[in-house]
Amino acid sequence: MRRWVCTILLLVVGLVPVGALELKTPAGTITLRQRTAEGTTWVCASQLAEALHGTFARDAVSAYPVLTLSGHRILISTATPVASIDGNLIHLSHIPKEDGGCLWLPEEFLTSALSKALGGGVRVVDSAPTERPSMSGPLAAPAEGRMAERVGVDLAVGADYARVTLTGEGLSHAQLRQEGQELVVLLARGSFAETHREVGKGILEKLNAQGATLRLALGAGFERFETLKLLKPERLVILLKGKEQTVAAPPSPIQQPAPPGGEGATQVPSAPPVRTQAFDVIAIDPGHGGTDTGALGPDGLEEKDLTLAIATKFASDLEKQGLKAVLTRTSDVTVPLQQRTALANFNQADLFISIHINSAPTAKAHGTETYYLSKQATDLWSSQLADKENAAGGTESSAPAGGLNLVLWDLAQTSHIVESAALAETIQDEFNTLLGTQNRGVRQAPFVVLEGAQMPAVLVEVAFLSNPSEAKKLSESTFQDQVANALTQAVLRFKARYENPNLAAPQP
Amino acid sequence: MRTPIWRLPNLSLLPALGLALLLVAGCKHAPAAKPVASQPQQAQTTTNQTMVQRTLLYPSEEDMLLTEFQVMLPDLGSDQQNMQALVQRYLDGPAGDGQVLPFPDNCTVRSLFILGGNEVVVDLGGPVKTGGGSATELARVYGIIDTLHRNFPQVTAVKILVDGQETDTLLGHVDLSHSLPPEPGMLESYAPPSSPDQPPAPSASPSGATSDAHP
Repeated sequence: MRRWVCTILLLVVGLVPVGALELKTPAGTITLRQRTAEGTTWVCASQLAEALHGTFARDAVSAYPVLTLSGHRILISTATPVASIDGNLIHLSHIPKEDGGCLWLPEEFLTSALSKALGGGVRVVDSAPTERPSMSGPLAAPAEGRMAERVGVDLAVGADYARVTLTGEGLSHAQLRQEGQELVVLLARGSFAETHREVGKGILEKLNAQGATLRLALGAGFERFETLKLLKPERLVILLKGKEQTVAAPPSPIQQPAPPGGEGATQVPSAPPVRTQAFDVIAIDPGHGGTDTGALGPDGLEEKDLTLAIATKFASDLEKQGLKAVLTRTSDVTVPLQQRTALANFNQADLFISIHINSAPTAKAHGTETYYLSKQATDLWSSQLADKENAAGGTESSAPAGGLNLVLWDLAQTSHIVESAALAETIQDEFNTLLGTQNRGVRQAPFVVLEGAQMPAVLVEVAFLSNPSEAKKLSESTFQDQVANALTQAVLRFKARYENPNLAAPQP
Repeated sequence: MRTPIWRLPNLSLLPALGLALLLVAGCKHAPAAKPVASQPQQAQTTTNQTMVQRTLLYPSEEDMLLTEFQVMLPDLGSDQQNMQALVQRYLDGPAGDGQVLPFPDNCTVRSLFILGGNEVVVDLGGPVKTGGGSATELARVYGIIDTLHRNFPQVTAVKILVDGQETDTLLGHVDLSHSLPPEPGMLESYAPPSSPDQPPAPSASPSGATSDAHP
């Protein structure tokens, strides 16, 4: 009773004590501050990283928060209740919330994502009552552990590049200089999250961040470096490039804008633009689901079940080819359209393929068609983004950078449309070859599920459920296998052209 | 509900607009919000009422691309009234030979507004969100938009509401959160641009330019 009286008194005067959560992990027992809201307990991500000797930063491409623990990279969405560990998606009970400089993670994160990252054995030992136990509204800012106080360090290493991303306030005033075989970053204020990494990759041998100094020990393979400053959040990206390499930029539309397309921006290219980053993640979207059945066919056939069956087979085929498939749903659940592309973006997928079954108020219509986003819809999407940028801006310093990013983003979208057209043609080719369905062609439409995709994105209408012959085929497992195979072959062909632009592109 | 990308002049006052739509929907002959000139193809006088030939663009039952169907409708005086009657006739059917009606029975135009001269808001009611398939949805959306544009060429953007409210889609595909321009690629007679600088054909048009006119 006395405890509650004290808590209430402290709440009244604004001096809120911090509740404690004791967490047993394979690395030992740690104590974290906690809060309670929406029926669950929340912990601060930066404090969790600190307690487990990891790092907490922002991803340079997606700007999503990233926890790096024991060599595992946990990407956390603040828009949807998901996280991914090394690219594997994990659904959470609540959406992580940013508040007061802290990213608050639901307790479920500890037992699911964290447990996987640390190899199991994570459990909550004790959870003391917290302040504001049942108050609704935003989570209060913690008194300590603010993300902004530490500059996060994130490292990505490829065969011919290393990318160091620093995230935090005040980076625009940081100094970067080369001292012999070292690159040194000095912060004007604040300090780095302490990070020590032995890389030994030829380009970057070692990374040490301590206090206000970051030192990058360059290897024999290092040739040059480039930097890029980004806002929202403030980031400094340092690209270390090796000898005799092409482009090693991160797979960001900001990094890789296509040449302006002008009026003919949606033309089909002879080959996709040259890119050299890895091509290994395919986002597959089984259309509809949950309460949204999609089209209905004879004998109780529902579009949502057929798309999931085909998508699952397609994912399995891709995995056999060494590619990673990310499904926007794996069961009969309702997933909002915008969340589907958000999931693809979140996983930094290289392609987004939405699978649908068509229907018409006539039994005669039949065949396969593949859609990509119309330029007009892309333009509208860009203007919506501009509205958001303008609404979120307001500071003199952020507006120009936001505008610049928007222009580059728009150019990248134009590039994606061009690639989407090529992918759609490739898919139609494969369907002609492997399925023998009528080719209804490649078309453009303002489909919601394709908007906002930060990669080439198409929607495939496999066949018509309203056509008795095609409905029968769609219900057969062997036909579904053939569809999955055709899609897989299309992806492999597109990947081959992506990796070798000299290969011939399909003719529209 | 998503923030609309394209902003109607008064759409930020959606509740007020909704109220206005409801009020106008209750009027049998509401005046047009802003008169604009129509271009009827042909006019006749039958008894005391002038009839105007209109072109309805219904999907072909073969490929679901839009083909023409000519009908005679009474001239109600204002463009707003004529547009609303045109869309209601479209929803009611019947379509012509070899065509299909993309909407189910009992769909209605609750109201229709002309905004800014070239932009039209169509408020649909009834089971317009029943059914499935992108082919059906595209035919519904562009059947209305392209039909309005064909008969009233000054209409260059159409915003579709359902039951007085904004809606993301009708059947889960086409983005209706903003107004849409006419889509010539939905026409069966559409000939894709031949210039290499142009985008690929937005629609497959296997049978070329065939017009199903039924005067």
